[in-house]
Amino acid sequence: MELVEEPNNKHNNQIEFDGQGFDLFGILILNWLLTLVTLGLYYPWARVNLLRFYYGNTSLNNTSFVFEGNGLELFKGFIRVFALFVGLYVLFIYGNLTQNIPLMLSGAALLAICFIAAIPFALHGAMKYRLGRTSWRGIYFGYRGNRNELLYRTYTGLLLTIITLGIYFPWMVNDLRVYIISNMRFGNLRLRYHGKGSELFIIYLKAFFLMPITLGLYSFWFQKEYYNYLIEYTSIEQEGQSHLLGSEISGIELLELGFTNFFLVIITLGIGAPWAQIRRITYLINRIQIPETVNFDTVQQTEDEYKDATGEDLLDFLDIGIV
Amino acid sequence: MERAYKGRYYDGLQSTAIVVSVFITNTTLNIQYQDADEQTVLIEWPKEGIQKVSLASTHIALKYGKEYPYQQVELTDIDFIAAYQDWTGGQLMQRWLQMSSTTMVLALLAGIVAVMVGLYLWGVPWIADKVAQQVPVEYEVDLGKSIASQITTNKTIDSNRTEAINHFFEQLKLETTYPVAITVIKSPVVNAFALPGGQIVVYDSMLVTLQKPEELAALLCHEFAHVQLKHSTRNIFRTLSGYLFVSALFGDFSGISAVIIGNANELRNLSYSRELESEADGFALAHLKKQRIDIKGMIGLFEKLQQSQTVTVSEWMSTHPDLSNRIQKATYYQQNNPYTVITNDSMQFYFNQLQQSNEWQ
Repeated sequence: MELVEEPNNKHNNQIEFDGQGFDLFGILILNWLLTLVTLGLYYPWARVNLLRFYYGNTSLNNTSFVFEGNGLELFKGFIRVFALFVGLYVLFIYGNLTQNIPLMLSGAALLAICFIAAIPFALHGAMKYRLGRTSWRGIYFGYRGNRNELLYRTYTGLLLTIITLGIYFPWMVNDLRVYIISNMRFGNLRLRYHGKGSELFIIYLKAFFLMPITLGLYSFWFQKEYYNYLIEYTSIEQEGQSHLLGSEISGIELLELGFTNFFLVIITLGIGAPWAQIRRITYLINRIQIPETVNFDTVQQTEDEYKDATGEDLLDFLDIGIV
Repeated sequence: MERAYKGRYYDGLQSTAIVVSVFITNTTLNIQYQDADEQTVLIEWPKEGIQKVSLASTHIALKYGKEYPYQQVELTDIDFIAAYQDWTGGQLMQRWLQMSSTTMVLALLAGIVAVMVGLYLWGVPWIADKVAQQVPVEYEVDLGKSIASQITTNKTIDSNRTEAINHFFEQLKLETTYPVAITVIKSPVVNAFALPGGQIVVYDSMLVTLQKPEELAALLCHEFAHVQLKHSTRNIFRTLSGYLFVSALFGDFSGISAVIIGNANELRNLSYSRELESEADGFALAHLKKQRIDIKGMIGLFEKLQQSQTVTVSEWMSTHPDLSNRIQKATYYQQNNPYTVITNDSMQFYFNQLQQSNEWQ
């Protein structure tokens, strides 16, 4: 078998984002127009256009990632999520119209509880769909987490966060990351997360004290610590070997990026927003380092096909972003 | 022999990239390479089973397979992309999309902007106006009453003058389906305005500024025109529809552009309200003529307002057309519509009542 040996074919395991602001601008304009004309029904297709753009412009060793999801799949999920929440809202509004205080309060409580309870369902479904529909060189990603396990972890985490008045929050986030990331697969490669709640707590604690002193400027260094910690404590496991990722994000560069993007958007009255977004994503993705010891040429196909997008739509509805 | 295009093939089982030659035949896409033993391997993909995975201007990925996982081939040859699209046919629209994506995006953008600006300036106001015309009188009356009660809560109503001015109004013999109710409130500001459904508010300083019953007649005819022609209701619908349209369009944009657009909306409304003022002036002039009331009253009213402007600043200024312009128009009307003026003693009587006992002088 002849392996690729083109001169421009990189083997340094560099992950690169190469999207252009103008292309994103074009997609956003078209999405916006079609969503407007179709009174919002185009929305799932609009999201697919964006996801395809972001994944298609991210490459590893010169091969792009592919997002194979389509508007129809997202539309089906969109309808389910829509039906669920329309039902809840109708109940809530009905409760308000009766002017019956206990009914109103229980309606509001039910709505709030459903929103919170939906989070792990959304996370689970979205991970399965997003990863299951993403491939690289024909090899699919996958998520093998167990939904009940995630539900248990999320609800106990939330409960402890409430009891401890928020102090437990970093431990909860860390616990969920460990579970979710460690269940991610790329063919026969798997990811693992080694972060610790106490260390994440220190990152938050530093931000808590330094943010007011620096009038918020510390937020850039907080982002740096936050992203770097997330990436640097993630490893790729291949044939019993563990390879830790690296991240070279710097606070001063984030600050520079933040300010220039701010002016880019202001001066252009918002039209420059896609370019600003591209600059940020390019920066964050290109700073990720994958050790050259990982061999991406021999990854075996292992994951099953998965096409249910309900979780993905639910996550979007709840306005939660996943990296 | 068909032309060979260089590509990379993945068998769907492993991520190893295999350099292959791709040929397009009538019914199949053929993929050919040399394996480790230097044996030629030929893979034939029937045309109907091939799916496009991704397509960009310089890159195409295709997959084939009855079931998951799929084989995949990736090419970066622009000639292949064109040839493949010729082969599959019916993709004209898509090819056109990618061939001229830059020009197309720009042309589309210009088109959208033109359409949106057109909609904003003419389409939306036109629809809003049509809708406003359909609003039932009872609804306008209710709306006017509730606004009037809000406005007058913190103000003192001059009940004597309120009574007198309503008698004065009756003398004008204006026909209407609206229950017109004029309220005089105490304020140092020289102002008067009409609300939907027949509510008219006149500030007492305005009354004192006037010197002749004809001037008051002109003022009330003007304000009445706003009521009769549904100006306030139309204005409300216009403003709301403008904001709705703008926020629907720019919902996702930054707050800064929203502020700029909001100001543009204000500007547009100002010019609209000037348009309505001219319309109301026209109505007032025609009615004065009908009742044989002297047009000089209109001119006098504008002159008094011009004088009062240097002293107090009021809403009257910003939303109304230039006063000297209005005086010119009224004078022109007077010259072209000569008629014998009939004086009305009752009007004079109520006007005198209104002039008495003013606390602001």
